Parts: sequence; structure tokens; C-alpha cells
Amino acid sequence: MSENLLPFEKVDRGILVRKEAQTDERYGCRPEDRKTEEIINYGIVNIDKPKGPTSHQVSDYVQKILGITKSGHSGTLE
Amino acid sequence: MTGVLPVALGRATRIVQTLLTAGKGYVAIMHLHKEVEEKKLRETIKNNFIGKIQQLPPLKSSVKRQLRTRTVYYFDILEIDGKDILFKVGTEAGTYIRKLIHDIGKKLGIGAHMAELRRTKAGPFDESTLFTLHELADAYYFWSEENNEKFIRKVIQTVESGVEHLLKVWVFDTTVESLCHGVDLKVPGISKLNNDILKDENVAIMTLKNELIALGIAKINSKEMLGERGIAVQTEKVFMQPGVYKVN
Repeated sequence: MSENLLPFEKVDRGILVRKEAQTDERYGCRPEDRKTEEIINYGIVNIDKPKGPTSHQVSDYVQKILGITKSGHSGTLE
Repeated sequence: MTGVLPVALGRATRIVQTLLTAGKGYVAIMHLHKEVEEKKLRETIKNNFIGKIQQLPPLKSSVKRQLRTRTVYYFDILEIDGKDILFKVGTEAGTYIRKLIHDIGKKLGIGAHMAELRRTKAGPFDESTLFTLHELADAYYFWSEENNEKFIRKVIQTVESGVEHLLKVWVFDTTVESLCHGVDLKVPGISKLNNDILKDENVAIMTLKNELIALGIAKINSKEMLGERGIAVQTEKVFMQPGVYKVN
């Protein structure tokens, strides 16, 4: 095993076009163009977890730092 | 620091569901209770702990304690220093590394325990985008107190970065609104798609601006999605709010 990859990292991500189409710039917003106010309550932070607190506590700290009322983490270290 | 912990914010919270079931990567130190020949160690791991394994969840775990089958995708020894073995491992979600190490020790007949563990991957998130809580707090301060958004925009990633590991379908502007109301995606609504989608696979439904609309389950494969009719994706979790694409 020369490369250390997870299954999804090996998947072919080629794209098939069913029907070419344009998108109307009047609707929606490209993810990178969202306002900062919006991403604070609709984004993801990848935290380097400190050793002491639980994942749940870290998630709570993130809420407090950003002044938001909801967050979730991807599970404890297994 | 114990590594990668993606935290989803506010309306993005439910995206963690797709990360919970995604593959994980770790670096760890296994401490052997007695020294063992390197060849024996490598053979034991290669023959018993790569691929499908049986694992009993530890006492202190949130799941039922019964043998579960899990997959170890790779196990790569980086360094051997006496009884300390530094290694990289990639596993299916729900594989306990502490337990894996314990079981390797048992198989070797000498015992072993986990000395260190650091997560290096959780689905699409790896160490390249890691920030500490302090850095997050500083970045927020610069934005809220000094009106400088450069740092907070670097620390916070888009919700779309949380579906990078999934295969996707992109839909027409005119299809978006109904999906926001939870309606299933039908074949005629699809503009383009990844070519290897299998039936029953989790997929992300995207706009042509690459915004996440919803997560769903493919009801047919990619080839069939190129057809003319039928339900392509069963909509499961909607992220985009209605009204964004009120096209008509």
C-alpha cells in the first residue's frame, strides 16, 4: 500500500453533462461570495482540538466565541 | 492537541451527519509491553488488522457493546523506537484506535496500549485547514472590533467544504426552489453530475453556482440519471432556505 488514501479520496470525480445550462446571477450567491455575517452562522471551522475538553465542550466554546446558538461536531476521537 | 475536529456552525450544523459516517485518518503511538521483532509486528498487522476487522466497542463508548465489522483502509508504520510504534491509519467511521492497538497487542501475545492519538482526517477535512480555538477567537475579534474580515474568512470554511467527499448532482436554477421544500429530485431537473454515482449512495445536490441545496440518497445510478424521467435523488436534509431561487 504505497499511498494512504480513504475510499472517497480514490473515487473518480469526472463530470457527465446531461444538459448544459447557465445560472442566473440574480439568484443565489457563490459560496465564496457570502457575507461574513452569513458564514458565521452557516459555515464550518476545522478546530485543532485541545487535549483537555471533550468535543462537545469545544463545540460549545466555538458557539461562545462566535456568538451563535447552534453548532455540532463530527464525533469524538475513536 | 488531538487534531481535526470539524465544528459546523448554526444553520450548517446538520452537515456533521455526513462527516460522522465518513472515513477517518489518524497518527498514533502504540506502546508495546515487550519488544517484538519488527518482521513479526509487520506481518501480524498486515495479516490481521488491514481490511475487514472485528471490533468490540470499548466499555466507555456510546454504542452497543457487540462485535462490529469495520474496515481498516491502510496501516502504515512510520517509525519504530524500541517499544514505541508510530503509525498512520485510515479507518471506516466508528473504528476505535485504542481498541485496535489493544487487539494488536493481544494478537502479538505481549500486550500494547495507545500512548498518543491525533486525528489527521475526518472526511474531507485534514490538517491543512486546522485552526486553534485561540486563532478563531482572534479572527473573530479582528472582524467584530476592528472591522477586518480577512482572518475570520480564512478560518471559517463554507458549508460546501463539508460535502467535498460526496458525489454530486447539479440542478437547473428552475429546479432549486422545489428541492428547498423537500421535494425529491427528478431526472429532468439535472444539468450535470459526477459519473460514478451508485444507487443508494449519499449524494449532495448543488446549484450551478456550487451552493449546497440538500443531501439525499441516489435512487438510480449516474448512467440512469442521464435518461429522461424518474426520481434521481430522494431529498433527505435540506440546507438552502426557500425563496433564494424564486425564478418564476
